[in-house]
Amino acid sequence: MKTLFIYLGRRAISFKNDFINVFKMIKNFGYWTFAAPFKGKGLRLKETLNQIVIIGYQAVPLVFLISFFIGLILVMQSAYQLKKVGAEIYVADLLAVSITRELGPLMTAIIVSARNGSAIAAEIGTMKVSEEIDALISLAINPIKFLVTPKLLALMVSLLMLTILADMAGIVGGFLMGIININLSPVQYIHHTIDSLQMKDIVTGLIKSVVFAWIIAQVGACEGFLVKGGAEGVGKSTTNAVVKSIFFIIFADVIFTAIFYYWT
Amino acid sequence: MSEAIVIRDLVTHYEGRCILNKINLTIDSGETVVILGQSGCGKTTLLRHIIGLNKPTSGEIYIKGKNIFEIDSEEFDEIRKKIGVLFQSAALFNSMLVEDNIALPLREHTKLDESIIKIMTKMKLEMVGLSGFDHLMPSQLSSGMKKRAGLARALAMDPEILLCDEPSAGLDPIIAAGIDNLILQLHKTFKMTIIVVTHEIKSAFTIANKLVLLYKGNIMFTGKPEELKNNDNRYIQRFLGGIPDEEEYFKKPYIDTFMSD
Repeated sequence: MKTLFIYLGRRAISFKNDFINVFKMIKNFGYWTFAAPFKGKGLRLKETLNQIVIIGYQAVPLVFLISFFIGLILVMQSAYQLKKVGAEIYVADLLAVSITRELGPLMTAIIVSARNGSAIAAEIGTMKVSEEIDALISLAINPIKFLVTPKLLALMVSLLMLTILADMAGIVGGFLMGIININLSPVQYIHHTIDSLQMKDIVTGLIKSVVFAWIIAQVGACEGFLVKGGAEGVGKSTTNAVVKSIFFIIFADVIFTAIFYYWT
Repeated sequence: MSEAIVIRDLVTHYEGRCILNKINLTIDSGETVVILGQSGCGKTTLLRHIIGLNKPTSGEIYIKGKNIFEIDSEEFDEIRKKIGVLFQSAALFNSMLVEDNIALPLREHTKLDESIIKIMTKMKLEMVGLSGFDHLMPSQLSSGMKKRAGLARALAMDPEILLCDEPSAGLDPIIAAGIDNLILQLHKTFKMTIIVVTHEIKSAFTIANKLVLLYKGNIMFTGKPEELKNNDNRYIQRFLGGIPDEEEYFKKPYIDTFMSD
């Protein structure tokens, strides 16, 4: 019984320490990304551009294809239901709104999280176990400024751009499926898409994408910095980074969808 | 001589275990201090406290008169710029070339032109005998070369204090002696304050002005190398002679059982 209490006590202390560390890291991320550059502490622009290539440019084919396929699937599934009431043309409206408001940012964030959230955790975690993070601190170089800020900024820019691409790819996919397979009129389809879309649909999706980018960077970096043990610890943190970031992305999506539903 | 580092009543506990117990130590500027002790006695923990990588349970460390646990991070970073650290694993940045590893602190903390940084990097590599290895990745270096490259990086900012964690551990005797020579030269040429953590007796006696012996988190001895050699404490003699503790290693029940089988 005594051992159980000791175990629980240690777990509680460990959880409390991790919580404090995560909170400090969130504060540091904000400081080094948004406040420090204005105090003349600089940004690593070259590294940020390099990360935009890795996170954004290299993900273009994957994001395009998946969003394109989602457009195809959505149109087929919607048409299956709507044709029962003779309203197949409304698949254009349905697709445009659901892609821009929801699926474009969400699917892009999930793809990027799987590709890059895990990579961030693995990179930082490996550096932690090989004492490279300690070496950075000993050289008076802040690891968050050096490692995380370029990735965070690159994720924000990349996810924004990839979400715009995903919106377009999804709508194009749906359009092709609509005119080829469901025999909708191309002019009518385009007309319905433009009519149904409002600027706020696109903007709310893009706002979400920036928040998702923050979540991916934050979770990936925290998991990396909190690695304990050797290679096994890095493996665990990499898996955790993907699972937790997807969970927090969907959780944030619920909150933002509710906010946008009532406020816009 | 002025005091470079002062450690007062330093206590560290980890998961209920006492790692360092009321450590008091003064290191003067220009001294080469070697901290000796068995594995797990708290040597590396003490070194990590001096760099601020670990926080103690209680106690104070003053570097250049400033309590490192009370100053803000920016002030501590200014102190860190004057300290070079050679880690046990060398801790080179594996994603960077050797030259970029050494140039990194110069790029981050100075406004020197890239051409000057290149020259300084080459000089530091030459100092540790690694000329011509600047365009290699750390993974292409041997253990001894990694240590030397780590030392070159530690020296990049021309530090006043150099901390070395097990500089010759895992190296062959010739390379280890080479690193000892390098430390002696650095001390002679630049009058640096050098703290070396090791359990290599030969290396310790070669480089030290002052020896500190840690035993189970306590300082058992502080003094000159000759004084340690002449000390008649049983543990010290066993440690210097590399004689195992018979009570600890040979009279355990499982050994008895094993022997009787």
